[in-house]
Amino acid sequence: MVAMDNTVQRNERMPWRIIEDEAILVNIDNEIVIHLNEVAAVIWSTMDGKRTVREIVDTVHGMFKADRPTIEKDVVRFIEELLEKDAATVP
Amino acid sequence: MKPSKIEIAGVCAKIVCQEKEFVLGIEEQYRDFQSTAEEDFVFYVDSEVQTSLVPDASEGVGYGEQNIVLIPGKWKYSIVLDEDRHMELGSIDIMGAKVHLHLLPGLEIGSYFELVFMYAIRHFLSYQGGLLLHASGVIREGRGFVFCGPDESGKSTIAKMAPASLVAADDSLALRVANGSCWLYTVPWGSRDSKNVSAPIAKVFFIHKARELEVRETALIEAVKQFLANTFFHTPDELIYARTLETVQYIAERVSCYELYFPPTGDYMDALLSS
Repeated sequence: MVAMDNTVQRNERMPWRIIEDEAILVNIDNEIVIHLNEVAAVIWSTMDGKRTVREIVDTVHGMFKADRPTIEKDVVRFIEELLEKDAATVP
Repeated sequence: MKPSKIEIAGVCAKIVCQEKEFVLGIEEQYRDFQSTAEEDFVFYVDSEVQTSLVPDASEGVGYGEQNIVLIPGKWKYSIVLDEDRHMELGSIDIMGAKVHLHLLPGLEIGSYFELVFMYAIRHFLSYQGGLLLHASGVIREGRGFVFCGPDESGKSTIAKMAPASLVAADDSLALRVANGSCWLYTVPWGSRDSKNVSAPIAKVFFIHKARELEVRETALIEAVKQFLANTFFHTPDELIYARTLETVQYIAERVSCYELYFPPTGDYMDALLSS
C-alpha cells in the first residue's frame, strides 16, 4: 500500500496531454488510450516523482470541493490502481 | 541508377538502389507520387549486404502480417525466421534521415519494401505534424471530408455515396498540419489506383452503420480518442506517440468533428457535405 510520505512517478512511457481539464494518455505497450477525468488528470499531472502523496492530496484538496478524508482515500486508491497497471512507480 | 523520389503527404523520400529492375518497379507502383522536392530522408535498398541473426529480437515490437520486428533503441528491423531467430533486415535513423533495407537472397522484396517504406514514411510524417489514419475521404469543390472508423465500419460505402465528389481514399489516408491548416492527403496504400491528391479538411465524421441517419457533434476529447483509436502506430518510439497526440489535438480543436450514424442508402450526402 502506498504511504502518504511516498513520492510517485508517472510512467514516462505513457505520453499524455491535458484536454479541457481532462487528460488523455496512451499506453505504448498495448496502444490503449486512457481517458482521465478532471480530478484524475490533476493527480496524474502532479505525479512527478518529487511530490509526496500527501502533497498531491493537498493540491487536489485545494482545487476541488470535497472533504479531505474523502480526497485522501480517492487519491490513494487511484495511485494504487496506477501502480498495479505499471502506469506509475514509487521511486 | 538515378535515384527516384517519392512524396507522400509532403514527406519526400529519395530511393537509392542499384537494382534497375527493382527501381523501375517502384517507379511504376508509385508513379502518381513521384516528386522533385528536396528529400526528407534517403531510403537505401542495399544489395550484397552481409546480414546476421539478431540475438535479442524477442524484445522487439512486431507489426504487420510479414513478421517484421522493430527493436527498440537499436532501430533495427528484422524478419522473423522462426520463433527464436530473427534476421536483420535493415535500420532506420530518424535524426540522420536515413533508412536502410537489405535485399536478402531468396526473399521477395516487394512486400517488405512496401511495409518498411510505409513504416518509415509514418515515422517521418509524425515528426512533421502528421499521421496515418484508418479512414476514407472525399474531396468536393476543393474541400476534404474524412470518414474515420475501424474495419467494417462502412468507410468505402459512405465515400462512394458522396455525389459529385472525388473519392480520395477508401481505407487509409494521411492527415497533416501544414502552415497552421489541417489537410488530408491520399496515400498509395490500402486503395486501388491511388491518385496523389490533397485538400484542406472541412469536416471529419466518425462513422457507425445504423438504420436511421443521425449526426451530432463530437466533443473534443471524444474526437481525440477516436482519432487515436484509428491511427496507425505500431512503434516503440514514445516520441511518435507524443507528437501524434499533439497533432490529433490540434486537428480536433480546429476541424468540425461529428458522429455519423448512417444507413447504406438514402439521399442525405449533399446536406452532409454542405457548409
